[in-house]
Amino acid sequence: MSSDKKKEYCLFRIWDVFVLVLVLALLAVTLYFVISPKRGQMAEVYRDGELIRTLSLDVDTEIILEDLTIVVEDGSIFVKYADCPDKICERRGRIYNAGESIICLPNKIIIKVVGKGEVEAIT
Amino acid sequence: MNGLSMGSFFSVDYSFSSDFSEDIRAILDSLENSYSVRVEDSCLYKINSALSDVPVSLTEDEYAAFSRAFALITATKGAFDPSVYPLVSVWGFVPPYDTVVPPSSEAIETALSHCDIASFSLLEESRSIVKSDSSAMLDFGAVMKGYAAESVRDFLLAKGVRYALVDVGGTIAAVGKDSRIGVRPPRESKDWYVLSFILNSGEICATSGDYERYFDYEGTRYHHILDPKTGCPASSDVISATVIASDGLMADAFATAAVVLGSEKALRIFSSYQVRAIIITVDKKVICHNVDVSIKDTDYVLR
Repeated sequence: MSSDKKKEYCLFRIWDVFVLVLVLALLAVTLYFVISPKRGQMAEVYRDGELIRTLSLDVDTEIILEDLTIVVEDGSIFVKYADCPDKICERRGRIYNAGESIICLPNKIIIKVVGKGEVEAIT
Repeated sequence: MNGLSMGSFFSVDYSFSSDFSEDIRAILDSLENSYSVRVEDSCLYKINSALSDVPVSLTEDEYAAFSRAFALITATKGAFDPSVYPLVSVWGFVPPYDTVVPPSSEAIETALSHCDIASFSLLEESRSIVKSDSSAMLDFGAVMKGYAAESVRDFLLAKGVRYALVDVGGTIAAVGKDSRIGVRPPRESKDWYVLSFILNSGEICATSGDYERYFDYEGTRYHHILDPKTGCPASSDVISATVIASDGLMADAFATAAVVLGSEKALRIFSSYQVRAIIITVDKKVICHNVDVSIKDTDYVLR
C-alpha cells in the first residue's frame, strides 16, 4: 500500500521527461524563428526605380539579368558579375541586414534588403 | 518607392491610399534642375558661368533657398560655405571622381582666392544674385539632400500622409512616427551601423564624415569635406557628425560644418540653435547632444 502511494506521488516519470523535452525543443525552435533577425528577410531588386524582382533570402538562388548576375546564398545577397566598368556593386560584397542596399549606378539597379530589421534606415 | 536622384539613392516609404511616386519624382527632378551645377539652365549653372556684375534672376523658391543657405553660412561661422566650389573642382571631388593625387599648393591658393561668399550679393528688389568676381562659383551639394528630404516631407504632410520615412542618400525625414535610425560606421567595423537613435516624427537627420568620399595618396587620406579657411580637407577631431533638426538644410549644413570646426566649436553652435546631434571623434568617442543612443559596435564608447 505504501509503495503504491509512493509511485503515485513521484514527480517525474519517463514519459513526463520525454514530453517536457519535446515541449522545450518546440519552444526553442519557435523562438529561433520569431527572434532571429536573419530569417524571413526579402530582397527587392529595382531597375530605374521600378521593382523587377522580389527574392527570399532563405532560398539560395542565382538570377541572371542581361547586365548583372545576382546570387542569394546563406541568407545573404550579392552581385556576382556586373558588365559595368566600375564594378562597385561587385566589390560591395554580401549584404544581409534590412535597410542595406547595393547600388549599381551605371545600370540603374538597386538591390535592397527588406524585412525584420533593428533599424529602419541608415544615416 | 526607390530611385536614384542627384547621384545618390533615395527611398520613400509611406502609407496612404494614393500613389505619390510621380509627384515625389517631380519634386526631386525639379530640385536637381534648379540646383545642380552640372545641369545647364539651372540657376547655379547660370550664376557660375555669369560674368561679374551681371545679375542672374531667381524664382521665388530659389531666392528663399539662397537666403536660407546664406543664413547658414553665418550660423556656422563660414564652416559651411557654398562658395568653395572652385576648390572642390581643383581637388577633383566632382564627377567622375577619379582624382588620385592632391593638387599643388599653387593650384589650391589660386582656387582659394576665388572662394569668398562675400563675392555674392542677393538683391531683394530684383530677386536676383550678382557676383563681383567672375571666377567665383557656388555649389549647394552639401545641403541638397536635406533640402530634398525636407521638400518631400512637407509634400507628404500637406497630402495628409500619416506615416512616412523619407531617405535621400542617408539624409532622413520621419513623418508621423518615430523611427530607429543607425549611424554608418566611419571606420572599418564588424557591424553595419555603430549606434542607433530615435528620430522623432517631423525631424530630419543628416550625417557627414571624412569617410564618405576620399582618396589615399602616399599614406595620407584626402577626404571631400574641405576647410574653406585652409583650402584643404578638414582635419578636426570629428570623423562623423549626425545633426537632427526640423530644418533639412540646417541639419545638412551643420553636419558638414561640424567636421570642419571640430567637436568643441560645433557643440557651441548646436546649443545655440537647439539642434540635436551625435559626434564621433577620431579616437572613437561618441558625444551625444540631447540624443539617447544605443551603441552597437563596442569599439565606440560614449563620452
